[in-house]
Amino acid sequence: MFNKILIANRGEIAIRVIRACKELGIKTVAVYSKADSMSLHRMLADEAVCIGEAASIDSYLYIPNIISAAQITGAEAIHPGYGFLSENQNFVEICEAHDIKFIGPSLNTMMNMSDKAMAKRIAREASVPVLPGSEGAVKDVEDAKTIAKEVGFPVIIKASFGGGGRGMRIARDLKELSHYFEIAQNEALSAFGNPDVYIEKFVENPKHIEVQVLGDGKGKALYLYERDCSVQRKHQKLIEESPCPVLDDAQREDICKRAASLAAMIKYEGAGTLEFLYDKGQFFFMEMNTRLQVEHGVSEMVCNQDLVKWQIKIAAGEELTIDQEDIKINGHAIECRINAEDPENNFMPDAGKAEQLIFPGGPNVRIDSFIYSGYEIPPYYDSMVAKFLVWGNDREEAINRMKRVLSEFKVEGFSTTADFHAKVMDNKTFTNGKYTTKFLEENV
Amino acid sequence: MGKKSIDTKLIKDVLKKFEESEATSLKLELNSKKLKIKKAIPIQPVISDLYENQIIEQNKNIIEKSDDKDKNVFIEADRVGKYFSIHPPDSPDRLKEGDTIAHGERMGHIVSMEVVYDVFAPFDLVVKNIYINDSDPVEYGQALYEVEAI
Repeated sequence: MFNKILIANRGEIAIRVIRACKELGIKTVAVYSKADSMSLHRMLADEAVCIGEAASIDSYLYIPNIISAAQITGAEAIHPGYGFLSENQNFVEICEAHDIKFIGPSLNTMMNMSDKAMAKRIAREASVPVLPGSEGAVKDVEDAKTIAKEVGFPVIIKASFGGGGRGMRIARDLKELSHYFEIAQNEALSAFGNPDVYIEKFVENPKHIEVQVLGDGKGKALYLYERDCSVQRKHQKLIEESPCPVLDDAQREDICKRAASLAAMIKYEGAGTLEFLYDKGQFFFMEMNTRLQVEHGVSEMVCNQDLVKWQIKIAAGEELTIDQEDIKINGHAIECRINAEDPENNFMPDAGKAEQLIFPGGPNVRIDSFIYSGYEIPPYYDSMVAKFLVWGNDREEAINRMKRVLSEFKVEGFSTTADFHAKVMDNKTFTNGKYTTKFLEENV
Repeated sequence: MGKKSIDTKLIKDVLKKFEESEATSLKLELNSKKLKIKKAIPIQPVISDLYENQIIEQNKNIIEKSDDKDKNVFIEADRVGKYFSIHPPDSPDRLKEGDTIAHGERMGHIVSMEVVYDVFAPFDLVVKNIYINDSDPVEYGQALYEVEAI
């Protein structure tokens, strides 16, 4: 086992990892920017190293200072958390070159799964259902028309090397396809430096369902069931729950087994997530996130496992001592992401000093946060300030518990999304479980 | 018969050629006598291809005004690494409090990811306080010295 781990992140996830390390008897090193000198993760770690200025590019993304921080403190491994460098192949390579264990999948796995066409090929090989569409980049508009006729309209044109919605166009007929194809290529070129686009069947009103997997890097992989993450705003998840309220046991077992078989096939190491679109009983693989997810806690609650501890143990070369039969869904868990945003003002990010802070508590409530009374939220980073997680014997109890938790939460100094979440908990489309990724635009 | 004498002119010529060449070591064997010579290699940043694109700027001293005295400022570390004091250049002497340093002269260096980064004097100065010892780890923004501009 490692003696000391550096956590290359900030906020609640840095604290989450520090807590797991403490319980495993591992010393921790926090890194922080000048703007985070009063951050809780700095105070909770055994050691802390300032790595740069407030801007992420000069600190949490600045690889030389992070590697140097590991070297001067004698940290043997780096946990990247999520975001920042967690899926940065260059960082993984540099860690390897300096004999520092990157807690996550191998460079090769990360490279393969970040290439969308390659990830789709691997998924097909593992019998994971994928969206029908082109095999890689589409040559020209005539090629695009042929493929669109095969898969059926509507189709979505996406940048091969893109993300974040840029370079994406939906075409509902041949005329629209001809019109948008070149526009999408131009957008892809200007945004990502490469004009390649590919075509997929467009799913109008899907659920976003993802499967949590855990692999030992040697070919053994388990699933910790699925999460429904369909309550989103501009592709940012706001509420996640496990299990998904509309799947039956047979659907659940089938997709989870397929996801785990993919993870086993690629000898996946650590925690990962396969994201799917779900519509009318069918799953379509979107991508694999080769890291810990923000919402990993809901899976931990229903499966009674600690994913971060498993990540660390596996990275240290320990055996994955649990088997699939040991992982059962127990009850229901919901997570609400509390953001420093103003829902009344188009979710505009807010910042300020947290005053009169009261966090909820009680049975089966988990608060993952880094703020405290008197803490000034820096405006440079993600707006999420806390995750409220609740567990219930069933979904109804979990929803009622979340309502109670949200009502107990008090903070002054900035706006939060807590009241917005309380309204969602009362919304009939949410409570009946049939909500989709269009929930927000249709209900709020 | 006299002893075989060493051709000093030949050795001088060889040494001159070695000095002018890019070679860093030389082995000579003359009349059963062996001679080994190595050139001193100055410390310089070693940047491997792997890290080249990570290095944004070198030698950007951070200067913070001292609260104590108007003329005094702190020189802070501009990166994370291990600190070594060397002053003046190519001397075994270490930087001392009271030293006068000319603008651009090296005061010490920080080794970060096996790359050596010099800490240069940002102006003519007198060293008032040194807050760091040889081989100490340093973090970004850590005060290395308090200095007075002259």
